[in-house]
Amino acid sequence: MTIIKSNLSTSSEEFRQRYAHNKKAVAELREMQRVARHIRPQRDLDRLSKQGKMLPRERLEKLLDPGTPFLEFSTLAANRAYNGESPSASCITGIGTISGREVVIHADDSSVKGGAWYPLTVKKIVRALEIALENHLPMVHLCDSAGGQLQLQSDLFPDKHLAGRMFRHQAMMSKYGIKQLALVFGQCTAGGAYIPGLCDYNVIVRGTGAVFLGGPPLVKAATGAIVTSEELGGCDMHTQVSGTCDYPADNEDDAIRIGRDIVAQWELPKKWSIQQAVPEAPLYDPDELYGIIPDDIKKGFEMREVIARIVDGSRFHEYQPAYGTTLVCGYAHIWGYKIGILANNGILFNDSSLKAAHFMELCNQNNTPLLFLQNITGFMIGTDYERAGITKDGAKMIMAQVGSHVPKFTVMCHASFGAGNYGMCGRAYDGRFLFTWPNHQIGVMGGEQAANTLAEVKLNQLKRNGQEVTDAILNEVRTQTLKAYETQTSAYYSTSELWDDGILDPVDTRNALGMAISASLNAPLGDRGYGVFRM
Amino acid sequence: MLKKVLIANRGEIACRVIRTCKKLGIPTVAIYHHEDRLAPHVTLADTAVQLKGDVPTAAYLDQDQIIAICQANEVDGIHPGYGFLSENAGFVDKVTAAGISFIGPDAVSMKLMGDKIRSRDFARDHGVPVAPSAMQDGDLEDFLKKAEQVGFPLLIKASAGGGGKGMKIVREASELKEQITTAASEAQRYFGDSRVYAERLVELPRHIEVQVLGDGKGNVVHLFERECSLQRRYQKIVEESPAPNLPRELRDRICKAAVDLAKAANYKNAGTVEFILGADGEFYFLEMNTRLQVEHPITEEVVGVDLVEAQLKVASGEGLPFRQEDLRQTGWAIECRINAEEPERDFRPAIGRIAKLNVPAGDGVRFDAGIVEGQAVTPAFDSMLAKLITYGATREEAAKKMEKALTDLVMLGVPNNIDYLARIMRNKAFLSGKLHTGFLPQEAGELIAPEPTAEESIAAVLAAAFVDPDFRRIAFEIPEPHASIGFWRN
Amino acid sequence: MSYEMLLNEQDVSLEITARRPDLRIKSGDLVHTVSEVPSVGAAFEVVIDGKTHTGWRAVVGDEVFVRIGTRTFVVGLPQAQLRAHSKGKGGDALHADMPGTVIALHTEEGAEVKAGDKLITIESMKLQVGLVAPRDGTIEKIHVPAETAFDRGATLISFVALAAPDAPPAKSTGT
Repeated sequence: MTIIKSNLSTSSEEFRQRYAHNKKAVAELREMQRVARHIRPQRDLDRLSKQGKMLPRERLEKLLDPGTPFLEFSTLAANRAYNGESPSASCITGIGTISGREVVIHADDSSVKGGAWYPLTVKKIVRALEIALENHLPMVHLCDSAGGQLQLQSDLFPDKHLAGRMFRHQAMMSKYGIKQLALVFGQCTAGGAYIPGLCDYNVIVRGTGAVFLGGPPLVKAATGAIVTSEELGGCDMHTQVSGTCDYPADNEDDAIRIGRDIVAQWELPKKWSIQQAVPEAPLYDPDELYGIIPDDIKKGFEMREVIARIVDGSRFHEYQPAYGTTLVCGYAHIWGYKIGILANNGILFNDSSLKAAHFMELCNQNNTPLLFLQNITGFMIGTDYERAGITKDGAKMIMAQVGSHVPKFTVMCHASFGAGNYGMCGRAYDGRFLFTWPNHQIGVMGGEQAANTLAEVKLNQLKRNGQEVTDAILNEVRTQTLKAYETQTSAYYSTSELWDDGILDPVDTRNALGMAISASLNAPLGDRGYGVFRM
Repeated sequence: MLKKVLIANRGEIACRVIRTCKKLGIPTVAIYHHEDRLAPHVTLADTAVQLKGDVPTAAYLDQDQIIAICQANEVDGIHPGYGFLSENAGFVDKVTAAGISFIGPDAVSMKLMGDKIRSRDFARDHGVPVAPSAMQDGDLEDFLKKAEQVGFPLLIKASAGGGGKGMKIVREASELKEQITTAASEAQRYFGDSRVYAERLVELPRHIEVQVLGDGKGNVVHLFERECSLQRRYQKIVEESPAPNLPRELRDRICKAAVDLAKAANYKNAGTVEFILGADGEFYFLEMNTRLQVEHPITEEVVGVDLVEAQLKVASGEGLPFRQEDLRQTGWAIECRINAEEPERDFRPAIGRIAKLNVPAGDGVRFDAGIVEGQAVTPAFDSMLAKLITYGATREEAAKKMEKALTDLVMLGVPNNIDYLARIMRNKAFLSGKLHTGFLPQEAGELIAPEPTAEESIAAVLAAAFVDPDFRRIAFEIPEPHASIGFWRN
Repeated sequence: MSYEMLLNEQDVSLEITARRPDLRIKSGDLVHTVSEVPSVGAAFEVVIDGKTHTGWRAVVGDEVFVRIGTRTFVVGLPQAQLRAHSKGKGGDALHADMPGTVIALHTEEGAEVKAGDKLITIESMKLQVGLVAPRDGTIEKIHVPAETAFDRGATLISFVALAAPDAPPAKSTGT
């Protein structure tokens, strides 16, 4: 491997302009995260403190091993939904270590409407379970939720990937020997009761923890009986009588202590042996990423400059450096782990698509995980390219990617438009993790292209019907389309809808990927398919 | 020589006696209560017999059972050690009647010297100085008058007592009656005998004692003095020989008084005559202990005599192998008593399990112990676990060696006084040799452990944390890259 | 998560702030760089901020006795710290888990007992079982006398109730 030679001029006007732009963007991201994490109505905070409850993040900090990282997922989920009433989609999910074991954590946030689940809450929890399931990571649930938002039940209850999926995943995890622990700090009502119910281990806090299919109000409504929460599904009842819960805890601290001790009993994972080197910080300062990322979606940038600020020692073994140059392929290390990188340095042509397919086959042959750094506006279109079989070559790229048995990781560095998103392992392609940068935009095509396309369609439609074609009509179509695209292509909309696992400050990319790769090594590799087809 | 010796004791003294028996080729029989089954005297002896009985101390006091064990094991000599049955004249009679030698004085001298009042009278009658005093012989008013005549300050003591129990100091005539009444009732409670006596209190007194040995055939020798002034709660914890700052002429007079007394009593075997020495150089007979003392090793070190060997020879009728003119006192010896107690809590006895024992070694370092690693220290027995003795050419050298030995002596798991003793060895007043029985209370402020520095505290906390698997897990077993990334939130 | 201990009965909290390149541990306001020299047996060597501290240590239950020079520390591991802080917790009564007969009483009304002290021996289904005090406290009442049968759930022994748990602890005046 050789050290990437950076051609970045940190004193250039362009660098300074981009740096200022991105610094501001990241400050906005950080501020949104701060608000989503910490700003709650005083009334809710008072209620929790009266109940003797900790805030979910206080529980989390006590549960995690001291001085260790926590990779939090989708911190801004639901930021564009429900009038902003569900910060972080009312729950916290992420990866950290407890008693030296890597685990996925899901914590209900009872400081938001009693921790009630919105549809996006369900989506976020299901995604956390999926991460645990795909990566064979044990999971710890910090339960404190009033249950599903009854007004929104049709969006969270019936479909395949909605609430029922949580319990399906829980059962599958247990079946595969992936351990789960629930710490019941508050109520687990109705479906929520199955979270501790389906965990292999659970702990319940005396006085505040409760597990039942129907809470006291429902029991009263259905049968007229008046019972207290503690009698109906409290700590002593479940740990002494029903056996639904395993360990009684005197208080939240006690529950956390017991929980840590339970995790300490779990067998250490047998990770598959990835090629490793001694970790090394990048030679170039990751802070310079801010001066590389453009301030306009249409502006391109040199992806090798990005790679140089993410990978160990800025060292890179470039594959086919002279062929299909709009896609940079090669090997590098992140936190010591060997990975194969595919990074867009322009539009995907026939040769770059074939190079991608070929390189992915090599990585599979070598058991090297794949990292996709997306900045893609699409596969090249036009007669020449269609005649050269661009669709056929794009299909090869998708086929090679989908058939990969090695873990895949995607970072949305800038643009992600059209079928390029598919080839470069977009959300639909079961990458283990997908992170976005704040400047990222996503759509079936760019906003302007879509506006012009739809204006063209409108024009033809009006002409066909013999109607008058005015600039005003066409401009209206253009403006509306642009407006909709502007909203829906933004990284914040994307993350709000959980099309990713969260927006990252670009300088955090290396740590996030290091933890993601480490997590992915827990699941055994599948079987390889074919050998390497030279494309 | 005796054919087989039973040691009617436990702990360090049982081990000590067995050691000399082994040296002389005499087989030994140890007795032990179930609680002591892991104690070293059990394994050291050639034969060990378990005592019956639930209460451990009662078992070691069970005279008939012990004599029966002797008979069953063809024992012809009993060494009583100290404490337990060592000064029980009735036991001596029973042992003798059973045809077994009691390795100690005969019952007659034991009875005479065991009674505080009779022994004082005996001493006075034979020209040994005794403190001005008054006896209670019935009428309280009469006793009060006599006590007042002795002069204040006065010390009121139980006639049958010892160890400072029920002792009262009276400085004013007005307090006298009340204090005597209290002392009498305490004496009744502790010793079952309400008789008390009053004697002149010696201010800043030193406790000087003289080791004597008699063969019962007229040869009585002294083995010089021991300084036993360092006491807490009226019990010795540091002893030394010779006594520091004691003019030779005065020392000789004290030793002579001790020999005179033993001769007068036709004393046989080992004994100790205790004196009170005032700051004015006056000394008074205190009492005589008719047994081997705890602190006998310091005499052995400076005189070069095995006292237990001497005891065995006298008991077997061989007599003493030396005369007074053969004995010399050379160098300096210090003994520290290692107790399971908490000096910072008024020396409250402590219990626990000796999880770690590291014994100091080296030239001039002697450790007389009856403990092993892993042994439990229970409230059933005395809190003294061992004795550390150092010997040097000078007092300074012996003290320095003692401080080092105390540093090397590690006994963890049971609170103990080792660190406190080390502070005594560093204490300026101690090193100057200006001792008296009120020394430790007087120096209490100087002897408090200084507050640990933050550095020491964190070292202790980390040393402890590092043995905890839970701590080791979070410190050393965090997987990569989590450990390298450290605290990080995205 | 911090690691809570007792040092000579005072609370101490350790927090690991970093592990690479060196283990860094925060205690109070200070962060120390720490390493240990592997040692055999009870002797230890701990290096704190470049200075080596040696001594002896022994674990007894949830306490570690540590001797550095001529100073002995008793350090309570987290379990000991927890125990120190949970004194007096536990129920106010001892209930029967099954029907049976009281065989023997080992305490009396008004007695001060410690958590774990055997209070009563019961017999049920030919099996004798000793029941222990759930917490430190004073026996208020013995509800079932010796050689008396009781039903499942019966209160056997009750404790004098504790003051409200959040009441400030009584200040020790010392002696």
